Amino acid sequence: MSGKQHNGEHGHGKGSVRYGMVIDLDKCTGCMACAVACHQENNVSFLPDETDKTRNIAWMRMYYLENGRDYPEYRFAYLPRPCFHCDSPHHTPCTFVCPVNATQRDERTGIVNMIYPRCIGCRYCMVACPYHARCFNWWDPRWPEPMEEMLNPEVSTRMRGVIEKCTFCHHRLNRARDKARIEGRDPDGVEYTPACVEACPTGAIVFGNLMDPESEVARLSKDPRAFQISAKLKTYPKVYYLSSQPWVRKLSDKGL
Amino acid sequence: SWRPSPKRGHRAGVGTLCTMCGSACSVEVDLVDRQRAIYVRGSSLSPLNKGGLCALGASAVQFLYSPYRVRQPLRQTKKRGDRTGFKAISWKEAIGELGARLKKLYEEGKGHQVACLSGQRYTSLYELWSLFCGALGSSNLFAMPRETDGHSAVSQALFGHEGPFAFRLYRATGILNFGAEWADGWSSCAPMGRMYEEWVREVPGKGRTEIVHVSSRLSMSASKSNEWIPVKPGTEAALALGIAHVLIRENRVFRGVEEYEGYLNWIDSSGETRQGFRDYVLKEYSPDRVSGITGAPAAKIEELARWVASQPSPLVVWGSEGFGGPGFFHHEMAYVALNMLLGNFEDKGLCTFTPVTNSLKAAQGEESLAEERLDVAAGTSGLVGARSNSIYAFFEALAQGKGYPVDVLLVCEANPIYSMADAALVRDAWSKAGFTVAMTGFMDETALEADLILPTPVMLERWDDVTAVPGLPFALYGLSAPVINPLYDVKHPGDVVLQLAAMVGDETRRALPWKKYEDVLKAQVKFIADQGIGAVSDDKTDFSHLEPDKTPKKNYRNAADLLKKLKKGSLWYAPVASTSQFVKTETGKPRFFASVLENAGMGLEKPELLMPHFLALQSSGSEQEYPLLLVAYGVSYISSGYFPNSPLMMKNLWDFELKGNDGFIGVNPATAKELGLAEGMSVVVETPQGKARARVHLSPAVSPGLIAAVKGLGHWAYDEYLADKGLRVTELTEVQLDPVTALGVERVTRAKLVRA
Repeated sequence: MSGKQHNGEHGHGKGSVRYGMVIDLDKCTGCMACAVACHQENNVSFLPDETDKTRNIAWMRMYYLENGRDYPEYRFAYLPRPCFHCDSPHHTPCTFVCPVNATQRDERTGIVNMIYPRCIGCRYCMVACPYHARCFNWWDPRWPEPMEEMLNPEVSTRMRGVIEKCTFCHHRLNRARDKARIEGRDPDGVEYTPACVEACPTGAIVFGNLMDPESEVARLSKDPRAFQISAKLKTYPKVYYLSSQPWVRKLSDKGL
Repeated sequence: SWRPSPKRGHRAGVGTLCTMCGSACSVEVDLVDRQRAIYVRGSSLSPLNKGGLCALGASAVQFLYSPYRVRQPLRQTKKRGDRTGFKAISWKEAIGELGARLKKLYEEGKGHQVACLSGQRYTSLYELWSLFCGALGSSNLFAMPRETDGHSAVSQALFGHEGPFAFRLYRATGILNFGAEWADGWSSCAPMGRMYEEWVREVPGKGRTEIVHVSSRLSMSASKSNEWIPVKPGTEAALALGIAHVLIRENRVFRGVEEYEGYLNWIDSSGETRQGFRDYVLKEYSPDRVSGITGAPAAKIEELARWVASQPSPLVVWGSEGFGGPGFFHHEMAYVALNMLLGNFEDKGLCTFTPVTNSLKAAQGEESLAEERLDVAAGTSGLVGARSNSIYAFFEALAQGKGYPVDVLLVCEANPIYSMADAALVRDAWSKAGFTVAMTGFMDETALEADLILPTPVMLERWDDVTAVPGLPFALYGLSAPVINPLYDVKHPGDVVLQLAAMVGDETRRALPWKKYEDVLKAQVKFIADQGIGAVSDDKTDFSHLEPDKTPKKNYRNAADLLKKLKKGSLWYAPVASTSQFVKTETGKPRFFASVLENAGMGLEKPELLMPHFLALQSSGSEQEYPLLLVAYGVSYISSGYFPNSPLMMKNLWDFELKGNDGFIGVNPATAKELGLAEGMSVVVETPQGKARARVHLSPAVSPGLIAAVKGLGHWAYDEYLADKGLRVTELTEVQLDPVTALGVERVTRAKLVRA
């Protein structure tokens, strides 16, 4: 739970960039704009029945937190959950188990990627992820006519039989890096904004380089309100949460 | 190919204004090769949303490319409601038929037998409908019910100005909130999100804004507030009066309030002494009595009053007690009165009114031409008559065949058949209308029931504007320009109105002289530019700094320049409007009693009828037969109006709201135990209005004895991603007509649960 994790010491090559996120659960009012923006931006497919959460696909998924009390002491909160892009030593839980190197942790950015054409659909990574961040394409994705028109050309659609998950909108990072190169700036450590962060109307989601001590995301990750989900697993998520509610913080050890 | 490959191309953003609700959020639309819209993000050109967006706005392109869009005019050739009966016709045929019907009615002097229901309200399109109906001789123009409908009668009664009320939310240090579900869609979604960020931000010298939420169900807004005061359903107004009692008793009210008419005892026109608000509240709303009504402890009421009084800038806000739509006249008066006691209606106070920017005015003499509105003619209207947007009173008259027939019913971009409460009444009224026309972008429930469907373009394909944002304390104008060409053979409803006006007769041609709708908007922009006041927002504009005496520096040259800036999604705004500009009472001060009611002869025997007071719950059905109370509530991530949920919004539903196609009813665990119900069990929810199947969800957010269902599910139109999913709660809910305004007020409905 300390801020010491993101100094490149987890057996990774030393770099100066670890993209990460802080989500303020006090500020989150559960409008779900982040999820819609994410799924729109990343061509996430949808099904006629989206209610089976073990079969549907969501990169930004909402979790419902309750304080366990009765009326009128009952309180609830929402927890938006992207991929945590874990920073644990040598490998994240998901990349470690992949037999075909279809998912890797980018040493320069800390982003855990998916290479869809390599994926053989064994779903080991799905099992290994303690945060249920990975979804499997049980069916061919289908957009009813003419909805294919809204697909984003910067993100490939995924085929039946492969795993997919949040990428921290890394196509946006690539675009920002290209722009930096063209402008003669250093492409490493460029700033960019994932779709969920952009949409959030309460400013509850902050994104940036955790290793830049000047960044807001680094500052907030060391806030007394900051915590990680299931920190005891030592997966070192690069997504931190903030809450002033003791009951919310208490739930963080219970997993998702 | 077993997966689609998105067409390649250059991605670039274009600015415009989101018009899916009336909140005036600036957006940037990402286009590929300027042809395909793929993504919508919030833009900081509007200081309201400052780059944020809601789930509906983020879904804009899903509606643009939705399979359930109407692609050409359709004529029902079989029985109304038969899905197989729709035949594609040309625009010439469509407008020809409708125009001929209207022309005939107009020429026979039966123009009043045309009625129109608009989904928009604070837009030029609504003003255009108003001109058109007026010229036709009809006063039967309504907008879909909204929370601010209740404001106009109350503000007229107490201030001599027809609202809507406005609040300087960013100035408040403490907010006492009676059911304004600000985190669940009250007012607006993204701008309220930004406001919340302001409230909780720690700024040196300014503490966080504290919020106390009063309601019967624990909403997200209640959960996010500093304190939640649970009360019995529909008793929030009593609590407001209890707090007024303590403030008055402890002499902690704004000093100038004694100058407000009706605060102290007063003498009426016949020379009789009448009880003032002060004595009335001291006598009737003691904390003990209010505690009995609301269930909140008397000590808590005292504590709340002292908390309010201790705040440097306290503000009272209210919603319709969490139910959506307008509230009761006398309840709204109570919240306004509490703000008056706090001095909030003085200049520079936290409450004022929202000015509307509109240059489209009817020519003189047309009002006398129009016949009385149907609900007035039929005697179903309230005391304020046609000044109220009482669509339910209109539907009641129509359903009962009172007054005169309605030969043509036009619905413009609204879905009343699905989204209005008391669905049976709406259906009944609909069946009595002679010829029904749905102007809509989508094959929604109302379109399915129409005789003629006129397809409209959707946002991103069309022009629109915003003439006011109710709740904002200053004038504002925004334009939404098209960013791509319409995909189908559609026509802007504004252009349809103009074409109809050209066909019908001299009066309509004179009232609506424009060639196309775009010209109407240009006229509005020119009207603003000619006045030469106000400024255009950019990404540095901060509305929280606006003051009545601070004029923003004009930063546009002329009408053309203003138009250019507005087209990109910036907003034109004027300084904060001070209350005294609006107050039109004889004393120039607000008053505590409704003179409109006195004139109507009310309140002679019961003086409290003139004043803010609490109305006990009236609900049909007996407590023995229906021991529970049903509340239908809204949430920000489910759309229950003209737009349905987008496919990507459907992903976010909780599995206690929808599972497969099953909808849920929230029941307090203690209540469920008494009834022998467990999580997930199938039940039939029954009210005097109807019954529906649902599954039980045990929820401590719901008070014992209350059952709760979310609005916006249970559609039967659209496509397989939406239809037949969840509980259609509008089949179950009851609407009560307020005796003063005749507005349909949704409260709780008596209900019972039977195991299925």
